[in-house]
Amino acid sequence: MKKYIKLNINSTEYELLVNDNETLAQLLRGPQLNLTGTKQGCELGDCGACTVLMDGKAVNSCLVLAMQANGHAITTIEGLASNGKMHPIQEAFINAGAVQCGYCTPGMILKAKSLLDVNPNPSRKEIREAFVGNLCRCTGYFKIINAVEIAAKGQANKEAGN
Amino acid sequence: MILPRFEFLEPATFEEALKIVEKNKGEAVMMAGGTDLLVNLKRKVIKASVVISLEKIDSLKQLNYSESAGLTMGSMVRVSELAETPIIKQKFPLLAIAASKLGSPQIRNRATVGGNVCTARPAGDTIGPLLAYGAEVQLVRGKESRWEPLAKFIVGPGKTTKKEGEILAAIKVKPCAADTGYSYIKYGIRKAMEIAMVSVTTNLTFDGKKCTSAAVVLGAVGPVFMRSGDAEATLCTKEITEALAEQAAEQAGAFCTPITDTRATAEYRCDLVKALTKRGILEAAGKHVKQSSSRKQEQK
Amino acid sequence: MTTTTNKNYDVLSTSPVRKGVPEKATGQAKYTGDITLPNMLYGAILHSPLAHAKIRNIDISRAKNLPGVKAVLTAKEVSNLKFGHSPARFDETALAVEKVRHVGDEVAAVAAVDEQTAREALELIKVDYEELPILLNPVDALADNAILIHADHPCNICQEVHNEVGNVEKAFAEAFLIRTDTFANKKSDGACLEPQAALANFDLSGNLTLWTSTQVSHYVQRTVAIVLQMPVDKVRVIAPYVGGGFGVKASAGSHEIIAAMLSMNTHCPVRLVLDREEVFMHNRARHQFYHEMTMAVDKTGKIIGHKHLSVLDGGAYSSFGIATIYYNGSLLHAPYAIPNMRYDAYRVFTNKPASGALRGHGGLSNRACFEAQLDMIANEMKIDPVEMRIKNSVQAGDTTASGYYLSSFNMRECLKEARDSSEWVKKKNKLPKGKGIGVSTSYFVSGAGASIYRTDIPQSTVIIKVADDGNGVTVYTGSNEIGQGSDTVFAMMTAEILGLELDDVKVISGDTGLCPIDLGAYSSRQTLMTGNATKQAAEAVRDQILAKISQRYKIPVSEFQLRGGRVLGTEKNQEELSVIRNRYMFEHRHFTNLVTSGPLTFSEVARLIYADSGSILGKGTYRPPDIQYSKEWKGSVVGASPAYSTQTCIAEVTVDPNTGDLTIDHLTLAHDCGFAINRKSIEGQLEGSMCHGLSEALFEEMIFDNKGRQINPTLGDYKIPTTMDVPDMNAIIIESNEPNGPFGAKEVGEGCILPVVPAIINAIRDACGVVIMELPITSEKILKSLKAKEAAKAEYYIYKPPAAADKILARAAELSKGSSAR
Repeated sequence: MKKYIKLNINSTEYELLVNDNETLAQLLRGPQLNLTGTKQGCELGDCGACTVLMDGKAVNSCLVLAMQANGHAITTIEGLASNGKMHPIQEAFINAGAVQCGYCTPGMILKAKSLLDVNPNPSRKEIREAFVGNLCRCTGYFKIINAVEIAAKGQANKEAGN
Repeated sequence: MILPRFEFLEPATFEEALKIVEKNKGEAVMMAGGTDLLVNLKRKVIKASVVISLEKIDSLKQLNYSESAGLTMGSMVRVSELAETPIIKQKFPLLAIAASKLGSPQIRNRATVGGNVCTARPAGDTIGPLLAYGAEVQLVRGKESRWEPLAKFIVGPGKTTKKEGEILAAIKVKPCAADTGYSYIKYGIRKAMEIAMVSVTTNLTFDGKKCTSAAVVLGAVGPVFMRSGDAEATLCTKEITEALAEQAAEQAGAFCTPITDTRATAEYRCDLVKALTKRGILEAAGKHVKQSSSRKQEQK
Repeated sequence: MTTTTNKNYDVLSTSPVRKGVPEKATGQAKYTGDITLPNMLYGAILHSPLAHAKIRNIDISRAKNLPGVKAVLTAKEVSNLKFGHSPARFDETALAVEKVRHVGDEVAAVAAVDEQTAREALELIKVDYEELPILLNPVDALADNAILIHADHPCNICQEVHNEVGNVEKAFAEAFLIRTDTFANKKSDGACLEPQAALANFDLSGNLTLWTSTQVSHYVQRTVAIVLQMPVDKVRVIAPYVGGGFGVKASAGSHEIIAAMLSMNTHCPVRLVLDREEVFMHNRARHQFYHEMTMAVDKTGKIIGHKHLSVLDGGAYSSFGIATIYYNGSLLHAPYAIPNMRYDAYRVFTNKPASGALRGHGGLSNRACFEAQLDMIANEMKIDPVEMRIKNSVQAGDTTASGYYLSSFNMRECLKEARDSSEWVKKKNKLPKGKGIGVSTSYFVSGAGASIYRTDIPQSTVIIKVADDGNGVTVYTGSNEIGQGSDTVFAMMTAEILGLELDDVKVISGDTGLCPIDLGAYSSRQTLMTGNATKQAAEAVRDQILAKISQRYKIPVSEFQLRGGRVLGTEKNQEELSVIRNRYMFEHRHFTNLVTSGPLTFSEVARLIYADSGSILGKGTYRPPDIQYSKEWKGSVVGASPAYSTQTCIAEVTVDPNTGDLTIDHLTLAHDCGFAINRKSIEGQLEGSMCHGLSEALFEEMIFDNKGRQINPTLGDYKIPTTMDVPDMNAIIIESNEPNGPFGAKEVGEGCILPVVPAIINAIRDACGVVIMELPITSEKILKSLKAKEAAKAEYYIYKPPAAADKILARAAELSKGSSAR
């Protein structure tokens, strides 16, 4: 069965027709939205590649039904840059060398955003704890953790008016 | 991996949910956070033609605490909320700690306490602390409601006394004694993102230096969580020493009945129970000492 | 921490942002599964649920009648031509013919209007199987009366190798100390985050375009053309962004051919994406190896002889296995000077997914065994493990017993830097109980000297085209960017030679329709091989620019230099400069960003040539030089390379004596990559390798039930490290000047995984006196060993592979009796 749902994706309101058994990841990546920045690595919540923000919180979009997103606000990687300017977390990932094959990157960056939104100055240990649900096979995580630290420092500097 | 076709229903109220559940008996599965159910549906471990989500029911998301009644949680309280809510961290720290070790943040943002309890895995993270705190669960069908101790509710791996048509509505935990020490140890292959190979939940209540009551709950070493009565008895009315902890740990190790699977042999799991129970008891006792000394300092 | 060779470069040896990374970080990068075409169908494959069975009949009628299904294919409907990796061992068909050989073997395929319908159709296909005996381990497969998985391979032996150089028995007779140890790893998976995916579009002109997540566009193109009996030129393979490979995407897979077949059958584009369970079924990653090694040393600790008996559990098909079995022998010929060596090995077919190649192909498990054994000998002889390795090391200018000439080889520097930066001397034998430190070294090829199929064509051809207005250049290479950063390496080389900014250089790679042939991303070959071709192509462009300006100015080429986007030296004749500049400005008079002062720009001079004769093209080709290898050591051509990398890992660990729990506290890795092109990318490879090595040491194992079904085909149950499992790490770049490498560069992607596993094994021994000789190293194995050590009141305890491994090795020993190794 199909139903219409209303949701906000990257600050735009949508009304979309979805199947009962369609996941949020499938909806985002599918023909109606084509937001393929959200990746699918395992489809079982093990790898975190499909991480998106639902009302600001990181979730695995492979384990949320599209219908459950009804009435909620979703942020995908496509929604992070604004006016052609990349989000500081994206810049930090790029400059720190935290991106290799890039398949885990959108999920990593969104996870970073959800972390820094509630904890703007995390320790390395806190960063490690926050990223256990985002697997990366290329980087060994070292430069990813660095990137999150750099992004946090960048935000702190900005707030301090530097 | 795609989900098989099913009809998805989202009752907005508890009453509506009860009706829908009754109507779809035999065909339907109930979904809380979906982090287990959707995996099992995708992997075809579970089949269902109707999925009933409880997510829209606000009354199931309530979390109330009072000094007299203790903690009452709706079954749809998220695991991340357990980990982060100050009153839980303060009054029921074991629950907050165990919750913070369940899966990943992404999973915790969806998974619910009710789902974790109903899934009834011998390794379920919130179950050990809830048992240690003597939690009770409320089950409702139609106009009937019953409360049952969690220890009786879970009867086997994946098996509960929940009857067809019943919904787990709430979980209640009585207020905790003021003078306690606690420890939750989860052991897995990786340092995170694990289903426990063994978990040990320890909750000790003290009167001065003496332990007056003890809960030692072992996870993933039997068909259901096990409370080691012998170990608990050993600790009671005594001052906790390393030798005593060792004795209790030996008892716990002898008591558990783990299986051998691809992750560990039964023998190793028993070894882990011994080592981790001892560590847990000493950690709990250590926390108590630390707390009482800081309390004393506050009094000064 | 790095050491640097002092060279005056503008672009090379820096750490620029990689090509394609902003696209990846913003979600714009399209991987194969992200691409849709109009009218596209969705493909799905029916896999065998049985490990070994005859197919009696397949009934596809119900699937065909399901609304939305556009095609259902079985072996009856499609080409059954064989393919595989090594041409001598083509033993796979796209869809199973008459029998299935492992759980996951491809039996039928469907194309439908959506994925749901395609997957549902699979459930309607009825296959009538006749079950055959299942062989799940080499000892069963090697039994005299065992059923044959492939009729033409007696005893299920896919390949055997018997080699000797020097005189091992004589060396053993003269030895001061001899040790024999056994070792085994487990079958592992690549666990790339991006599952394999293919999108095929067979158009009305009979051209096939195949987008696929591959490391080797060229081999896929060729294989698909062979099976579909098409001219190679009619097949265009495009590798878009690729989400990791590590070896499992280094040869053509059935899914790619099946996608093409479905598209040909339906005349629609067909996209086929494997799910994670199917990725495991396809596998093609590291073999399960069994080793028995005997090492002999003289009284100074010098290794004088080495004997290696090995069995490789190959799974159901040959895949990369022929190369693997030779690598398994020859990747022990350095970094130590060993004059007398013997190697006997069998690669055996079993009813499991085929094993293939994985990062550090054929060099990880044998290296772990060798280095653990070397450490035990060092310990027995009371020689410091670092000193033991320095004492036995080869160095640049040496030739190994297998005849490999080491044109650059800074092994001792790697050892010394790793030792110093990890404070080895302070820590070794001085750490508190339960803490330990361990070291290992290794080496690897920088590109396979020989291509996979017999050919004399160059391994790489690169074309560089200058933009028609002279503003920038595009590099066309058939090489494959899979996340390792190769596109950026070639762009940096080009920018350096042409005196341009990195942003002025575009790279188009992995597209057989646009790019000249390159053999692709495997055996860590691209920086050296494609790099050499790129360098040559860029020099060809540079020479044309310089020749032109020299001709105009009537002064020698040597008076000019390309740098900073300018042709330096052109300021020497202002009159000529003005003529050229004015002409350029006149041509481009509506543009606002023109240069009005200083020496002529690259664009201005390039435009002169364009005006004369159109586009400026530079071509470069690379063919390995005559590579040395020993004719005495059979198959040593596998492992012969234009250059060899070397590396040292030092691991620091903590062991909990009560649980056996192991924590990796710190990892240091020093790697000789020749000249460092992109420093941050090199660090990234080292860090990634440390994590990958840790993963194989501690976690990775595909586990099968007695029916040959994998019981852990998810990334939850098949473990790779999380952020909590990996410590902070120190990646040390050691440079050397490799004469065969472009600018002196050589490989970095693979070799650096090799010393990680043994460094961890050796650190555990240092921490608690147990040596774990079977991967993965679990806390259970450690605790069991600690108990056994205590019970025996011994100083050390060796955890050996299970008795089954001894049986397998004993059978191999029996079979190899009397085999000639000369």
